[in-house]
Amino acid sequence: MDLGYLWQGFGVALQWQNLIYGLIGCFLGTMIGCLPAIGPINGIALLLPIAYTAKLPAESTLILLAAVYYGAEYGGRISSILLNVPGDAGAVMTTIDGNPMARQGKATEALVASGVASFVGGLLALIAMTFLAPLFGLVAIKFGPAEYFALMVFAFATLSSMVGHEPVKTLIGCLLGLALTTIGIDATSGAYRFTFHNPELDDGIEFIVLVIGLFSISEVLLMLERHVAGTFKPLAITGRYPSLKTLASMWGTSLRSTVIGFVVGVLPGTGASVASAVAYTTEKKFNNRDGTFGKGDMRGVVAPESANNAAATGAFVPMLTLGVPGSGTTAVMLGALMLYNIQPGPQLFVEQPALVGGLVASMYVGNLLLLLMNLPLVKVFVSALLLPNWILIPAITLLSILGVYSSYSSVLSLYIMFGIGAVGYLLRKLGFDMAPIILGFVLGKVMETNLRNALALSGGEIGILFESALSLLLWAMAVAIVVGPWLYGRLKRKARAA
Amino acid sequence: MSEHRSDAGATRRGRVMAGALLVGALLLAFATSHIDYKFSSDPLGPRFAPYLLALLLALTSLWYFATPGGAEAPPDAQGVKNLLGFMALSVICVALMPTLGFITTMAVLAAGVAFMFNATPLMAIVTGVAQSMLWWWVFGPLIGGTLPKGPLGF
Repeated sequence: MDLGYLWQGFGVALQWQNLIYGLIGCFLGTMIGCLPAIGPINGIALLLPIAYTAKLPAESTLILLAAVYYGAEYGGRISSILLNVPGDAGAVMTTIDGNPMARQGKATEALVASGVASFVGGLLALIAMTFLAPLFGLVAIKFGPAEYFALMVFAFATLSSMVGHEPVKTLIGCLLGLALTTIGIDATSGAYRFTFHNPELDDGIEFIVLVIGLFSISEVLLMLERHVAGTFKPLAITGRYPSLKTLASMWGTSLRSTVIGFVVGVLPGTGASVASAVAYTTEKKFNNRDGTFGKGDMRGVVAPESANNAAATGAFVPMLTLGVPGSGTTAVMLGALMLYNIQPGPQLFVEQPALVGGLVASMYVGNLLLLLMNLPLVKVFVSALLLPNWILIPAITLLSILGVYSSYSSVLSLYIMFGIGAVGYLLRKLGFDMAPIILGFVLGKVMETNLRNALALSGGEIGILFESALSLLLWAMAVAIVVGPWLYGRLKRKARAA
Repeated sequence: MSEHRSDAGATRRGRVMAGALLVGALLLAFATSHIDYKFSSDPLGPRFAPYLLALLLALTSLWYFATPGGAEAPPDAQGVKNLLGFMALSVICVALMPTLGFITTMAVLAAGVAFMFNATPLMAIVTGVAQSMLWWWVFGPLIGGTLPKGPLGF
């Protein structure tokens, strides 16, 4: 197993400027995770244009944004425990036992245990990723346009794991994202598609415009509609640090939840929220003999926090190795790579080992920084909860405008951003998730380009899409992932009826 | 997070959106028919993907029309005022930004948003001015971006 990319990566991650970006990302990520008003995807969407405008190199931008992402998984638990309001989707399950612990005067215990659990989950998942990810690089050279197209089909098939009980909305979201990618000059033929003779649309809808419109502006509109005013009132941080013996007794829960979280995180289309839910319910199902879950059981805090951090790390595996986002947030990070003209996918380990290694190495450093930061600085993060919305929301609005304008110096882009924000608001009101739109947008161009290139190579023969063993495997996996759960459900119902 | 309900109102709103999506799909197909190109090195050409997407969007919008699912309750009167006020104020301030400058227009926008979130008029103005200057400094002198200046030089 060649880990040369990792040693190269430590050389990048330990450069003083990248250490500072990692530290800033960890701090901001924890703060963002702590705030119920904005989640990691909003934070990354707002920070990306800042990094781009400041002309940070690609590896520094990735280090910063990744630190925000997994930092937010640390921060989400703070408002879950002290406010009973999850800071982000991955921290929903932490409220169930975390807030009761705080009400029992054990807020410190809950915060420390969850912080340590987050560290353990993140670290173990990182070790797994370090060894697993390069294996994908071994098949890198086998990927041509036909294989890439099959990979994209597989990526879209995994959306079926995001459908919930309204699959039509996931499909429509995906199609809308795909449709947006058709705007602009077609690279193969030079044709102008839906540009309305406006040169500013020749390059299509910019990724930052879409992300900020969909996540930040629509969120502002939702809050305005609900005219949510006032501030949060977090519980006091009382109690003592848990003993080392108590923390050590949680190792089984933490390990089991880490495995669950990592596996769920690696699966494209799922994320930290699914991981923490599965981990919590599994732990409760098998270890709730005393009936203490839901009443302030420390395991009820350790399980979801280990899982959500493991999932956040796991989500990077398909993103870096296959160019397929493991979650909505990594879809945004994928877009960040494309901003720098870096094509993620199987070739990345071969062509840019320092970039990948730098990111992975920075995550080791960042995990340690987050543990050291979260324990003594929790009161600093809690102070963010005391910011009233009439200070916070104008800041988000201005950052959104600045993010787009500083990247493109275009007023039209701002109009498009607000328009997308308005559409995003309407869709969210009707129960649509925004992640499929982003996934469709990020993968759409790659999919169309590779399909057309493959058919150009074969002179129009569609058989090229099913020729290689790798393509056939990917097609089979795509069919399995769509049909499998439905078939399993049918067989289970038949077995019950019999 | 707000609750999604499957009641008559939600069904109606869902169907209106389905109708809008169907119209969008038809418009997409129509616009695609006007894509002009002389040569493409691949057999599909630049029209294939948009036509396919228009077809799929039309079919899924019919599916959505048949099964609209749940939706959140619509905004109340104050909510509608806030939404329309925010959009109008944002568009006006953005339109005037290149002429009047970043700090002036964004101070007005930030103050307006703060007021919508129940800041007093004085605190709204203070927030607006402070935030527009703070973010101008971060994006301008600090990280080297270029922001529009107004007639007063800022």
